[in-house]
Amino acid sequence: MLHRLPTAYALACVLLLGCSTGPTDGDGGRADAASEAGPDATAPGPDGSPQDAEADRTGPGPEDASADGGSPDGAPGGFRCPSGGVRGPGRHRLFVQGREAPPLPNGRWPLLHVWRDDGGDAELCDDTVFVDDANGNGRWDPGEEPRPLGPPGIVHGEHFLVGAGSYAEFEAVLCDDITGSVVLYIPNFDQEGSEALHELLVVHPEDGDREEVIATAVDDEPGFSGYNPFVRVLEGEDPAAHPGDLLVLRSTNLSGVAFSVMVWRPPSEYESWVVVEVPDASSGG
Amino acid sequence: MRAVAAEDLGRIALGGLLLALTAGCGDGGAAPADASDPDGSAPQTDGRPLEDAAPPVDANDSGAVPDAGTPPGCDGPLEVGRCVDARSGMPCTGFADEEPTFEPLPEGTSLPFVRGPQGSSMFVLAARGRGFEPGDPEQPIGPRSPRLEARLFAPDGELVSLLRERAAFEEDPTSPGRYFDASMFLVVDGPCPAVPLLRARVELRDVEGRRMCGEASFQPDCGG
Repeated sequence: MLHRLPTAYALACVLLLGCSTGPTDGDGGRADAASEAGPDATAPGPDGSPQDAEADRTGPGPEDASADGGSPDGAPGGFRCPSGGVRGPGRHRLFVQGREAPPLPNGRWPLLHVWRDDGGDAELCDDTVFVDDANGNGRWDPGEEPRPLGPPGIVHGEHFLVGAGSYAEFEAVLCDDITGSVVLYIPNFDQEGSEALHELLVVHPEDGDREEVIATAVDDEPGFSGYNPFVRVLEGEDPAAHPGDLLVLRSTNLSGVAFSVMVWRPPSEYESWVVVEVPDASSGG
Repeated sequence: MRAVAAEDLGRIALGGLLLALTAGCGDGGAAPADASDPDGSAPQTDGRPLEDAAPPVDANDSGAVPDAGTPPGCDGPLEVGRCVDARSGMPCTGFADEEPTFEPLPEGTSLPFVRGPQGSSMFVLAARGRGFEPGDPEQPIGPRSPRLEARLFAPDGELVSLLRERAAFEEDPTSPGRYFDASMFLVVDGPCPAVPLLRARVELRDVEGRRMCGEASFQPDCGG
Protein backbone atom coordinates (compact mmCIF):
# COMPACT_ATOMS: atom_id res chain seq x y z
CA MET A 1 0.00 0.00 0.00
CA LEU A 2 2.84 2.38 0.79
CA HIS A 3 4.08 2.41 -2.78
CA ARG A 4 0.79 3.89 -3.90
CA LEU A 5 1.00 6.93 -1.68
CA PRO A 6 2.50 10.27 -2.51
CA THR A 7 6.10 10.10 -1.46
CA ALA A 8 5.78 12.85 1.12
CA TYR A 9 2.79 11.25 2.73
CA ALA A 10 4.36 7.82 2.59
CA LEU A 11 7.39 9.22 4.38
CA ALA A 12 5.16 10.78 7.00
CA CYS A 13 3.23 7.57 7.32
CA VAL A 14 6.34 5.51 7.80
CA LEU A 15 7.83 7.86 10.32
CA LEU A 16 4.64 7.89 12.34
CA LEU A 17 4.27 4.12 11.88
CA GLY A 18 0.76 4.62 10.61
CA CYS A 19 1.20 2.42 7.59
CA SER A 20 4.02 0.10 8.48
CA THR A 21 4.64 -2.03 11.43
CA GLY A 22 7.19 -0.30 13.54
CA PRO A 23 10.77 0.82 13.75
CA THR A 24 13.57 -1.37 14.83
CA ASP A 25 13.40 -0.09 18.37
CA GLY A 26 10.47 -2.40 18.77
CA ASP A 27 7.80 0.19 19.26
CA GLY A 28 5.08 0.25 16.71
CA GLY A 29 2.21 2.51 16.18
CA ARG A 30 3.25 5.53 18.17
CA ALA A 31 6.46 7.34 18.69
CA ASP A 32 5.81 7.44 22.41
CA ALA A 33 4.96 3.79 22.66
CA ALA A 34 8.35 3.09 24.19
CA SER A 35 7.47 4.98 27.32
CA GLU A 36 4.10 3.34 27.68
CA ALA A 37 4.86 -0.21 26.67
CA GLY A 38 5.18 -2.95 29.20
CA PRO A 39 8.18 -5.21 29.56
CA ASP A 40 10.22 -5.52 26.44
CA ALA A 41 8.75 -8.08 24.11
CA THR A 42 12.23 -8.98 23.04
CA ALA A 43 13.08 -10.63 26.31
CA PRO A 44 14.03 -14.26 25.89
CA GLY A 45 11.12 -16.53 25.32
CA PRO A 46 10.21 -19.33 27.64
CA ASP A 47 12.50 -21.69 25.83
CA GLY A 48 15.41 -19.37 26.36
CA SER A 49 15.76 -18.51 22.70
CA PRO A 50 16.35 -14.83 22.26
CA GLN A 51 14.03 -12.53 20.43
CA ASP A 52 16.38 -9.97 19.08
CA ALA A 53 14.63 -6.75 18.25
CA GLU A 54 17.63 -5.62 16.29
CA ALA A 55 17.43 -8.65 14.01
CA ASP A 56 13.65 -8.75 13.65
CA ARG A 57 11.90 -5.98 11.81
CA THR A 58 8.32 -5.07 11.30
CA GLY A 59 9.09 -1.81 9.55
CA PRO A 60 11.88 0.15 7.92
CA GLY A 61 14.95 0.73 10.00
CA PRO A 62 16.78 3.98 10.40
CA GLU A 63 19.10 3.03 7.58
CA ASP A 64 16.28 2.92 5.07
CA ALA A 65 16.48 5.95 2.86
CA SER A 66 13.40 5.19 0.82
CA ALA A 67 9.95 6.23 1.91
CA ASP A 68 8.51 2.80 1.81
CA GLY A 69 11.46 0.56 2.55
CA GLY A 70 11.22 -2.95 1.28
CA SER A 71 12.70 -4.04 -1.95
CA PRO A 72 11.51 -3.98 -5.52
CA ASP A 73 10.40 -7.33 -6.68
CA GLY A 74 10.29 -6.66 -10.35
CA ALA A 75 6.52 -6.66 -10.43
CA PRO A 76 4.84 -4.42 -12.99
CA GLY A 77 4.94 -0.78 -12.02
CA GLY A 78 8.01 -1.30 -9.87
CA PHE A 79 6.05 -2.37 -6.81
CA ARG A 80 8.16 -2.33 -3.70
CA CYS A 81 7.17 -4.79 -1.05
CA PRO A 82 7.05 -2.83 2.19
CA SER A 83 8.83 -4.14 5.22
CA GLY A 84 6.44 -6.49 6.90
CA GLY A 85 4.62 -7.32 3.68
CA VAL A 86 3.61 -10.89 3.07
CA ARG A 87 6.04 -12.54 0.73
CA GLY A 88 8.00 -15.69 0.19
CA PRO A 89 6.82 -19.28 0.08
CA GLY A 90 5.52 -20.73 3.28
CA ARG A 91 3.22 -19.89 6.13
CA HIS A 92 3.16 -16.40 7.54
CA ARG A 93 1.75 -15.47 10.91
CA LEU A 94 0.27 -11.98 11.03
CA PHE A 95 -0.55 -10.40 14.36
CA VAL A 96 -3.42 -8.03 15.07
CA GLN A 97 -2.08 -4.68 16.29
CA GLY A 98 -3.53 -3.42 19.55
CA ARG A 99 -6.18 -0.75 19.79
CA GLU A 100 -3.93 1.60 21.74
CA ALA A 101 -1.91 2.09 18.58
CA PRO A 102 -3.37 4.74 16.31
CA PRO A 103 -5.29 3.34 13.37
CA LEU A 104 -4.07 3.73 9.85
CA PRO A 105 -5.57 6.67 7.96
CA ASN A 106 -8.15 4.36 6.44
CA GLY A 107 -9.43 3.32 9.87
CA ARG A 108 -7.76 -0.09 9.85
CA TRP A 109 -5.03 -1.33 12.15
CA PRO A 110 -1.98 -3.15 10.82
CA LEU A 111 -1.49 -6.87 10.78
CA LEU A 112 2.08 -7.13 12.02
CA HIS A 113 4.41 -9.40 10.16
CA VAL A 114 8.00 -9.71 11.28
CA TRP A 115 10.97 -10.01 8.93
CA ARG A 116 14.57 -10.61 9.75
CA ASP A 117 17.16 -8.18 8.47
CA ASP A 118 17.96 -10.60 5.70
CA GLY A 119 14.37 -10.35 4.53
CA GLY A 120 13.34 -13.78 5.71
CA ASP A 121 10.56 -14.56 8.10
CA ALA A 122 11.36 -14.14 11.73
CA GLU A 123 10.75 -16.75 14.33
CA LEU A 124 7.14 -15.85 14.85
CA CYS A 125 6.28 -17.52 11.56
CA ASP A 126 8.11 -20.66 12.63
CA ASP A 127 5.64 -22.91 14.35
CA THR A 128 8.40 -24.85 16.05
CA VAL A 129 9.34 -21.67 17.90
CA PHE A 130 5.97 -20.06 18.34
CA VAL A 131 3.97 -22.93 19.77
CA ASP A 132 4.35 -25.90 22.02
CA ASP A 133 4.54 -28.39 19.21
CA ALA A 134 2.92 -31.19 21.14
CA ASN A 135 2.75 -33.66 18.29
CA GLY A 136 6.20 -32.78 16.99
CA ASN A 137 5.13 -32.29 13.39
CA GLY A 138 6.71 -28.87 13.18
CA ARG A 139 3.40 -27.21 12.49
CA TRP A 140 0.84 -25.59 14.74
CA ASP A 141 -2.31 -27.58 15.11
CA PRO A 142 -5.48 -26.57 16.97
CA GLY A 143 -5.10 -27.32 20.62
CA GLU A 144 -1.41 -26.55 20.69
CA GLU A 145 -0.81 -23.54 22.83
CA PRO A 146 1.11 -20.57 21.51
CA ARG A 147 3.96 -19.31 23.54
CA PRO A 148 3.76 -15.78 24.94
CA LEU A 149 5.60 -14.28 22.01
CA GLY A 150 4.72 -11.41 19.77
CA PRO A 151 6.13 -8.83 17.41
CA PRO A 152 8.37 -6.18 18.93
CA GLY A 153 6.07 -3.51 17.62
CA ILE A 154 2.88 -4.82 19.16
CA VAL A 155 0.89 -2.35 21.22
CA HIS A 156 -1.64 -3.26 23.88
CA GLY A 157 -5.37 -2.95 23.57
CA GLU A 158 -8.39 -5.10 22.82
CA HIS A 159 -10.70 -3.97 20.07
CA PHE A 160 -14.14 -3.48 21.54
CA LEU A 161 -16.92 -3.97 19.05
CA VAL A 162 -19.84 -2.10 20.57
CA GLY A 163 -23.24 -2.46 19.02
CA ALA A 164 -24.51 -4.69 16.28
CA GLY A 165 -22.72 -3.96 13.04
CA SER A 166 -19.65 -2.43 14.60
CA TYR A 167 -16.47 -3.82 13.16
CA ALA A 168 -12.73 -3.49 13.18
CA GLU A 169 -10.42 -4.19 10.28
CA PHE A 170 -6.78 -5.15 10.15
CA GLU A 171 -4.63 -5.17 7.04
CA ALA A 172 -1.33 -6.34 5.63
CA VAL A 173 0.21 -5.77 2.23
CA LEU A 174 0.47 -8.82 0.04
CA CYS A 175 3.61 -9.03 -2.02
CA ASP A 176 2.88 -12.52 -3.29
CA ASP A 177 -0.24 -14.49 -4.06
CA ILE A 178 -1.61 -16.61 -1.26
CA THR A 179 -3.66 -19.76 -1.15
CA GLY A 180 -7.06 -20.28 0.41
CA SER A 181 -5.55 -22.13 3.36
CA VAL A 182 -5.88 -19.84 6.31
CA VAL A 183 -5.97 -19.96 10.08
CA LEU A 184 -7.87 -17.69 12.42
CA TYR A 185 -6.67 -17.54 16.00
CA ILE A 186 -8.68 -14.88 17.78
CA PRO A 187 -8.78 -14.68 21.55
CA ASN A 188 -11.77 -12.61 22.46
CA PHE A 189 -13.91 -11.34 25.26
CA ASP A 190 -17.51 -12.40 24.82
CA GLN A 191 -20.68 -12.97 26.77
CA GLU A 192 -23.77 -15.11 26.48
CA GLY A 193 -25.31 -14.20 23.17
CA SER A 194 -22.16 -12.82 21.60
CA GLU A 195 -21.89 -13.49 17.94
CA ALA A 196 -19.11 -12.21 15.73
CA LEU A 197 -18.29 -12.62 12.08
CA HIS A 198 -14.66 -12.89 11.04
CA GLU A 199 -13.90 -12.36 7.38
CA LEU A 200 -10.56 -12.79 5.70
CA LEU A 201 -10.46 -10.89 2.44
CA VAL A 202 -8.18 -9.76 -0.29
CA VAL A 203 -8.84 -6.16 -1.21
CA HIS A 204 -7.76 -5.08 -4.68
CA PRO A 205 -6.91 -1.35 -4.64
CA GLU A 206 -6.30 -1.40 -8.39
CA ASP A 207 -9.86 -2.54 -8.90
CA GLY A 208 -11.73 0.01 -6.86
CA ASP A 209 -11.00 -1.80 -3.62
CA ARG A 210 -12.96 -4.82 -4.78
CA GLU A 211 -13.17 -7.37 -2.00
CA GLU A 212 -12.47 -11.02 -2.62
CA VAL A 213 -13.53 -13.24 0.23
CA ILE A 214 -11.13 -16.00 1.16
CA ALA A 215 -12.95 -17.35 4.17
CA THR A 216 -15.46 -16.42 6.81
CA ALA A 217 -16.27 -17.83 10.19
CA VAL A 218 -18.91 -16.97 12.76
CA ASP A 219 -18.01 -17.13 16.41
CA ASP A 220 -21.25 -18.02 18.12
CA GLU A 221 -19.73 -20.30 20.68
CA PRO A 222 -22.10 -20.19 23.61
CA GLY A 223 -21.57 -18.40 26.83
CA PHE A 224 -18.77 -16.45 28.36
CA SER A 225 -15.50 -18.00 27.31
CA GLY A 226 -13.06 -15.70 28.99
CA TYR A 227 -10.30 -14.93 26.60
CA ASN A 228 -10.22 -18.35 25.06
CA PRO A 229 -9.34 -18.14 21.42
CA PHE A 230 -11.70 -18.70 18.56
CA VAL A 231 -9.74 -21.06 16.36
CA ARG A 232 -10.49 -22.08 12.82
CA VAL A 233 -8.36 -23.78 10.24
CA LEU A 234 -10.08 -23.10 6.96
CA GLU A 235 -9.72 -24.13 3.38
CA GLY A 236 -11.22 -21.08 1.80
CA GLU A 237 -11.38 -19.73 -1.70
CA ASP A 238 -8.02 -19.38 -3.39
CA PRO A 239 -7.80 -15.66 -4.14
CA ALA A 240 -6.14 -14.09 -7.14
CA ALA A 241 -3.86 -11.79 -5.17
CA HIS A 242 -1.30 -9.57 -6.78
CA PRO A 243 1.57 -7.61 -5.27
CA GLY A 244 0.10 -4.55 -3.65
CA ASP A 245 -3.21 -6.12 -2.79
CA LEU A 246 -4.25 -6.05 0.83
CA LEU A 247 -5.08 -8.89 3.13
CA VAL A 248 -7.84 -7.70 5.44
CA LEU A 249 -9.27 -9.32 8.53
CA ARG A 250 -12.65 -7.86 9.39
CA SER A 251 -14.32 -8.74 12.67
CA THR A 252 -17.94 -7.65 13.01
CA ASN A 253 -20.22 -7.78 16.03
CA LEU A 254 -23.37 -9.44 14.73
CA SER A 255 -25.55 -9.63 17.81
CA GLY A 256 -24.62 -6.45 19.61
CA VAL A 257 -23.66 -8.37 22.73
CA ALA A 258 -20.20 -7.69 24.10
CA PHE A 259 -17.33 -8.83 21.93
CA SER A 260 -13.76 -7.75 21.62
CA VAL A 261 -10.67 -8.93 19.78
CA MET A 262 -7.78 -9.39 22.17
CA VAL A 263 -4.32 -7.96 21.80
CA TRP A 264 -1.83 -7.85 24.67
CA ARG A 265 1.47 -6.25 25.42
CA PRO A 266 3.59 -7.69 26.87
CA PRO A 267 2.88 -10.51 24.45
CA SER A 268 0.97 -13.41 25.83
CA GLU A 269 -0.79 -16.45 24.53
CA TYR A 270 -3.79 -14.18 24.02
CA GLU A 271 -2.57 -12.45 20.92
CA SER A 272 -4.85 -12.52 17.90
CA TRP A 273 -3.31 -13.66 14.66
CA VAL A 274 -4.00 -15.19 11.33
CA VAL A 275 -1.87 -17.50 9.21
CA VAL A 276 -1.78 -17.35 5.45
CA GLU A 277 0.27 -19.35 3.04
CA VAL A 278 2.27 -18.27 0.03
CA PRO A 279 2.56 -21.20 -2.31
CA ASP A 280 5.85 -22.51 -3.50
CA ALA A 281 6.58 -21.13 -6.96
CA SER A 282 7.09 -24.65 -8.21
CA SER A 283 3.51 -25.46 -7.37
CA GLY A 284 2.35 -22.86 -9.84
CA GLY A 285 0.80 -20.70 -7.18
CA MET B 1 12.92 0.27 26.63
CA ARG B 2 14.94 3.09 25.15
CA ALA B 3 14.08 6.75 25.29
CA VAL B 4 12.98 8.40 22.12
CA ALA B 5 16.14 9.82 20.56
CA ALA B 6 16.39 13.40 19.45
CA GLU B 7 16.65 12.30 15.86
CA ASP B 8 13.45 10.34 16.29
CA LEU B 9 11.72 13.42 17.60
CA GLY B 10 12.86 15.34 14.56
CA ARG B 11 11.56 12.67 12.28
CA ILE B 12 8.32 12.53 14.17
CA ALA B 13 7.88 16.30 13.90
CA LEU B 14 8.62 16.21 10.19
CA GLY B 15 6.22 13.37 9.75
CA GLY B 16 3.53 15.24 11.61
CA LEU B 17 4.02 18.33 9.48
CA LEU B 18 3.88 16.35 6.28
CA LEU B 19 0.84 14.49 7.52
CA ALA B 20 -0.98 17.72 8.31
CA LEU B 21 -0.11 19.22 4.97
CA THR B 22 -1.22 16.27 2.92
CA ALA B 23 -4.34 15.26 4.85
CA GLY B 24 -7.65 16.08 3.29
CA CYS B 25 -11.30 15.39 4.09
CA GLY B 26 -12.96 12.42 2.44
CA ASP B 27 -10.08 11.18 0.37
CA GLY B 28 -7.73 11.58 3.27
CA GLY B 29 -4.01 12.08 3.15
CA ALA B 30 -3.53 8.41 2.55
CA ALA B 31 -6.22 7.89 -0.03
CA PRO B 32 -5.20 5.57 -2.81
CA ALA B 33 -4.80 6.91 -6.28
CA ASP B 34 -8.33 5.83 -7.07
CA ALA B 35 -10.44 8.01 -4.84
CA SER B 36 -13.66 6.19 -5.61
CA ASP B 37 -12.95 3.19 -3.44
CA PRO B 38 -16.07 2.24 -1.62
CA ASP B 39 -14.54 0.91 1.54
CA GLY B 40 -10.85 1.40 1.66
CA SER B 41 -10.31 5.06 2.38
CA ALA B 42 -11.65 7.05 5.21
CA PRO B 43 -11.98 10.64 6.31
CA GLN B 44 -8.79 12.42 7.09
CA THR B 45 -6.96 10.93 9.98
CA ASP B 46 -6.27 13.91 12.21
CA GLY B 47 -8.57 16.66 13.29
CA ARG B 48 -8.13 20.07 11.87
CA PRO B 49 -8.22 22.88 14.38
CA LEU B 50 -11.71 23.47 15.65
CA GLU B 51 -11.76 26.81 13.90
CA ASP B 52 -12.12 24.92 10.63
CA ALA B 53 -15.15 22.95 11.73
CA ALA B 54 -18.23 23.09 9.53
CA PRO B 55 -20.91 25.54 10.62
CA PRO B 56 -23.53 24.08 12.94
CA VAL B 57 -26.58 22.47 11.46
CA ASP B 58 -29.95 23.94 12.35
CA ALA B 59 -32.45 21.25 11.42
CA ASN B 60 -36.07 22.23 11.23
CA ASP B 61 -39.20 20.17 11.57
CA SER B 62 -40.05 20.49 7.90
CA GLY B 63 -37.52 17.75 7.32
CA ALA B 64 -35.33 19.74 4.99
CA VAL B 65 -31.70 19.43 5.88
CA PRO B 66 -30.30 22.93 5.72
CA ASP B 67 -27.25 23.47 3.64
CA ALA B 68 -24.57 22.87 6.24
CA GLY B 69 -21.88 22.99 3.61
CA THR B 70 -20.89 19.64 2.19
CA PRO B 71 -17.27 18.99 3.10
CA PRO B 72 -14.94 18.57 0.14
CA GLY B 73 -14.81 15.08 -1.22
CA CYS B 74 -18.31 14.27 -0.06
CA ASP B 75 -21.45 13.89 -2.13
CA GLY B 76 -23.86 15.34 0.36
CA PRO B 77 -24.34 16.53 3.91
CA LEU B 78 -25.00 14.34 6.90
CA GLU B 79 -26.39 15.91 10.03
CA VAL B 80 -24.64 14.77 13.19
CA GLY B 81 -26.76 14.76 16.30
CA ARG B 82 -27.27 12.99 19.57
CA CYS B 83 -29.21 9.90 20.54
CA VAL B 84 -32.18 10.31 22.81
CA ASP B 85 -34.50 7.63 24.15
CA ALA B 86 -37.85 8.48 22.60
CA ARG B 87 -39.72 7.15 25.63
CA SER B 88 -37.88 8.91 28.42
CA GLY B 89 -36.29 11.80 26.59
CA MET B 90 -33.03 10.90 28.26
CA PRO B 91 -29.68 10.45 26.53
CA CYS B 92 -29.19 6.95 25.15
CA THR B 93 -26.93 4.53 26.94
CA GLY B 94 -27.22 1.54 24.63
CA PHE B 95 -29.46 -0.58 26.80
CA ALA B 96 -31.87 -2.81 24.93
CA ASP B 97 -35.03 -1.24 26.36
CA GLU B 98 -34.30 2.14 24.84
CA GLU B 99 -35.98 3.51 21.74
CA PRO B 100 -33.16 5.47 20.16
CA THR B 101 -34.03 8.49 18.12
CA PHE B 102 -32.21 11.41 16.58
CA GLU B 103 -32.03 14.80 18.22
CA PRO B 104 -30.11 17.80 16.86
CA LEU B 105 -26.86 18.74 18.52
CA PRO B 106 -26.39 22.51 18.39
CA GLU B 107 -22.84 23.74 18.58
CA GLY B 108 -21.46 23.49 22.08
CA THR B 109 -24.25 21.35 23.50
CA SER B 110 -23.24 19.20 26.42
CA LEU B 111 -23.22 15.46 25.79
CA PRO B 112 -22.93 12.99 28.67
CA PHE B 113 -20.19 10.39 28.92
CA VAL B 114 -22.21 7.27 29.57
CA ARG B 115 -21.46 3.69 30.52
CA GLY B 116 -23.18 1.17 28.36
CA PRO B 117 -24.43 -2.31 29.15
CA GLN B 118 -21.11 -3.85 28.19
CA GLY B 119 -19.25 -1.59 30.57
CA SER B 120 -17.72 0.60 27.90
CA SER B 121 -17.74 4.35 28.44
CA MET B 122 -18.78 6.30 25.41
CA PHE B 123 -20.55 9.16 23.77
CA VAL B 124 -23.64 8.16 21.84
CA LEU B 125 -24.18 10.09 18.65
CA ALA B 126 -26.66 9.94 15.82
CA ALA B 127 -26.73 10.88 12.17
CA ARG B 128 -29.41 11.64 9.62
CA GLY B 129 -29.67 12.74 6.06
CA ARG B 130 -31.12 12.23 2.61
CA GLY B 131 -30.01 11.07 -0.77
CA PHE B 132 -28.34 7.81 0.06
CA GLU B 133 -29.20 4.12 0.17
CA PRO B 134 -30.26 3.56 3.80
CA GLY B 135 -30.19 -0.24 3.82
CA ASP B 136 -32.85 -2.50 5.29
CA PRO B 137 -33.60 -2.15 9.01
CA GLU B 138 -34.74 -5.76 8.97
CA GLN B 139 -31.22 -6.70 7.96
CA PRO B 140 -29.23 -4.02 9.73
CA ILE B 141 -25.85 -5.38 8.79
CA GLY B 142 -26.90 -6.74 5.45
CA PRO B 143 -25.02 -6.01 2.24
CA ARG B 144 -27.11 -2.97 1.35
CA SER B 145 -26.52 -1.20 4.64
CA PRO B 146 -24.17 1.73 4.47
CA ARG B 147 -20.83 1.77 6.22
CA LEU B 148 -20.35 4.46 8.78
CA GLU B 149 -17.20 5.92 10.23
CA ALA B 150 -17.29 8.33 13.11
CA ARG B 151 -14.21 9.94 14.60
CA LEU B 152 -13.97 12.04 17.70
CA PHE B 153 -11.19 14.60 18.03
CA ALA B 154 -9.86 16.62 20.92
CA PRO B 155 -9.03 20.30 20.31
CA ASP B 156 -5.41 19.42 19.64
CA GLY B 157 -6.43 17.02 16.89
CA GLU B 158 -5.85 13.87 18.90
CA LEU B 159 -8.14 11.04 17.86
CA VAL B 160 -10.22 10.20 20.91
CA SER B 161 -12.52 7.58 19.44
CA LEU B 162 -13.10 5.73 16.21
CA LEU B 163 -16.27 3.86 15.35
CA ARG B 164 -16.70 1.82 12.20
CA GLU B 165 -19.93 0.04 11.62
CA ARG B 166 -22.36 -1.22 9.09
CA ALA B 167 -25.83 -0.01 10.00
CA ALA B 168 -29.19 0.33 8.36
CA PHE B 169 -30.83 3.70 8.68
CA GLU B 170 -34.47 4.05 9.65
CA GLU B 171 -36.81 6.39 7.89
CA ASP B 172 -37.81 9.43 9.91
CA PRO B 173 -41.59 9.13 10.32
CA THR B 174 -41.86 12.90 10.50
CA SER B 175 -39.96 13.48 7.30
CA PRO B 176 -40.26 10.91 4.50
CA GLY B 177 -37.05 10.41 2.62
CA ARG B 178 -34.91 11.35 5.56
CA TYR B 179 -33.11 8.51 7.33
CA PHE B 180 -31.36 8.30 10.65
CA ASP B 181 -29.10 6.07 12.70
CA ALA B 182 -29.28 6.86 16.38
CA SER B 183 -27.02 4.14 17.78
CA MET B 184 -23.50 5.32 17.18
CA PHE B 185 -21.44 4.30 20.20
CA LEU B 186 -18.14 6.13 20.28
CA VAL B 187 -16.19 4.26 22.90
CA VAL B 188 -13.43 6.12 24.67
CA ASP B 189 -10.60 4.19 26.24
CA GLY B 190 -9.77 5.61 29.59
CA PRO B 191 -11.41 8.45 31.48
CA CYS B 192 -13.75 11.06 30.12
CA PRO B 193 -11.69 13.52 28.06
CA ALA B 194 -10.95 16.59 30.13
CA VAL B 195 -11.31 19.04 27.28
CA PRO B 196 -13.75 21.86 26.71
CA LEU B 197 -14.93 20.63 23.34
CA LEU B 198 -14.88 17.51 21.21
CA ARG B 199 -15.46 17.45 17.50
CA ALA B 200 -17.19 14.57 15.78
CA ARG B 201 -16.68 13.86 12.12
CA VAL B 202 -18.96 11.30 10.54
CA GLU B 203 -18.82 9.80 7.10
CA LEU B 204 -21.31 7.44 5.53
CA ARG B 205 -20.59 5.45 2.40
CA ASP B 206 -23.52 3.67 0.87
CA VAL B 207 -23.60 0.63 -1.34
CA GLU B 208 -23.66 2.85 -4.43
CA GLY B 209 -20.46 4.55 -3.36
CA ARG B 210 -22.08 7.80 -2.30
CA ARG B 211 -20.26 9.57 0.47
CA MET B 212 -22.17 11.70 2.94
CA CYS B 213 -20.33 13.69 5.57
CA GLY B 214 -21.05 15.80 8.58
CA GLU B 215 -19.49 17.31 11.67
CA ALA B 216 -20.58 18.51 15.05
CA SER B 217 -18.94 19.77 18.20
CA PHE B 218 -20.04 19.27 21.76
CA GLN B 219 -18.96 19.75 25.33
CA PRO B 220 -18.21 16.46 27.05
CA ASP B 221 -20.21 16.09 30.22
CA CYS B 222 -18.02 14.06 32.52
CA GLY B 223 -20.24 14.55 35.54
CA GLY B 224 -21.08 11.62 37.73
